[in-house]
Amino acid sequence: MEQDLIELIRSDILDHAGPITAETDLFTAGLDSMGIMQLLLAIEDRFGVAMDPADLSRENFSTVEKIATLVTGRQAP
Amino acid sequence: MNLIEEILRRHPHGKLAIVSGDEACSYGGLAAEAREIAALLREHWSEGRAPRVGLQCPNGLSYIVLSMGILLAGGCLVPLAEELTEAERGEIAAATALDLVVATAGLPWQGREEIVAAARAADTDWQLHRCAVRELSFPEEDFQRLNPAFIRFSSGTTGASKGVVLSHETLLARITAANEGLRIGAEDRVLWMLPMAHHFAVSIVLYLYAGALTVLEHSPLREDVLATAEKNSATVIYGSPFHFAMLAGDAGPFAWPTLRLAVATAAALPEVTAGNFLRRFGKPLTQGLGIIEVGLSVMNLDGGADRPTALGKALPAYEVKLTDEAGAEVSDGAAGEFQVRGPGLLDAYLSPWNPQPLDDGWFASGDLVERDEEGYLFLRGRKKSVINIAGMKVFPEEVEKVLNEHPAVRRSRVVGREHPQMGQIPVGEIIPIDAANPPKAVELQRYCKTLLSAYKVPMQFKMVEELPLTASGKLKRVD
Repeated sequence: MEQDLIELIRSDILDHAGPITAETDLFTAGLDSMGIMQLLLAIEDRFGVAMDPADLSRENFSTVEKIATLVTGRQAP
Repeated sequence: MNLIEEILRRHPHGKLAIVSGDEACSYGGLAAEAREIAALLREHWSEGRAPRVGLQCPNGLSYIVLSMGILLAGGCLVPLAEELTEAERGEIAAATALDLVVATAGLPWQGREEIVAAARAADTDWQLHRCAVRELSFPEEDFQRLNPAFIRFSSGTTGASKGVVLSHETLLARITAANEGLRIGAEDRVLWMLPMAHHFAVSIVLYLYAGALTVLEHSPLREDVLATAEKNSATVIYGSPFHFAMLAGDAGPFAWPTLRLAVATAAALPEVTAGNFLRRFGKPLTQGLGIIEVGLSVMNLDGGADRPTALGKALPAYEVKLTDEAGAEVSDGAAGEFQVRGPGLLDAYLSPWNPQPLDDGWFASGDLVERDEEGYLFLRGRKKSVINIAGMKVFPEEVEKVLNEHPAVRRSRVVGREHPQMGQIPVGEIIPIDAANPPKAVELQRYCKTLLSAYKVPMQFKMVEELPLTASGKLKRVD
């Protein structure tokens, strides 16, 4: 999941940013409002889970690691 | 009349105008920056007409002073949004016959235009590029007679976006009319986080005219937005439903007692977002209907708590009618096309040139709107084919034109799929040239991205055998 997310962010959302790892702070790397929306839509498309904007905080969305935890939590029945 | 001159005349020099992180700028500071920029610009244009000046600059204090400088010098401002691709920027430059481009260093202009000056404003380096002489698609003298201040495109120049021309007088008329509803005054502190290339006139310019403090927030994260609101005792916030859904999810202790007006714009407000925001902050969201050709003519000033999904009612300066296909007014409870009459409507469409875009003063927006028996207006859909992704407008024709050029695509149709948070998302339907070997979605997306802004690129693709056509062979927009 983390690797898929990194790929997705690198190819579709932050294509001009430097290297991205599971721990990179995505907001420092340039993730803005529009980028967040695109990422939410891409996650919905790729992993089949609708994310709630109310979940978007630094606490659970600032790195790929945190996003993966959030997505996995949503996928769980 | 020059609107920026008017603004700079109105307020005490020491009054704080803009706060952006640790930076602050007074009205006197804005005046000094804008006058310096204007003086430099004037050295590079010929007297006698307003040049068209593109501005490519990220959100920030520098965007504000550069815009003010261009307008103060008498230039007509053409915003070049940062997400535009090179092809899209080139199209706008050609359609508006830009004379000059102001571009900041953080967002360099990619065109071939020569650099004729370089300077620094609000701690940001910027360069002035002179554009090659272009063929005009509109009559220059008629254009100049309008006292043009702004040319705005709601999307690329293809599709149905025609370039909206707004004069200094028009801007003043529409911000005056909008402020009968917003009631923004010198004591207000407005928290701002939307892209200035898309929202500027009936927002930042209005706040400056009213002498308010505008607080710029650059972080999209709710912790940062709320910390800024608290630090500056913000009284007004303007945002999209997406922003408000994000803020309403906050579980912290900040109650935001100074908030008096939260305007939701750009996309239809979901009822659940309105409810969550009201519960979290104790203030209803106020929907407003902003239209580039019109300004802000309808606001839900008193219905936010009881009817959060209503657009509201016409502001005092405007008349609204809802009409059927024949132009007759529909009865309450039936959806009709939104038409509005009042101050500050557009002066002209640029391309194709149309200096009389109104019908007996009425502008028909293409929005389908319904009125309930108490007079509240509700958005019910669109008559035209534009797709609205969280407030960013996409003309399907523009995306289809790009897709149809792809070697593996015979024909395409782009439609908006409803989405609870974003309003709509663009989806591409493709008739492949070789049905046994259709193009991959990721390949089509990559291809679109080289020519289109990222938000216009379809999120999903569906291979189809045929597309619905009208009797005359055009694509059907509504199934």
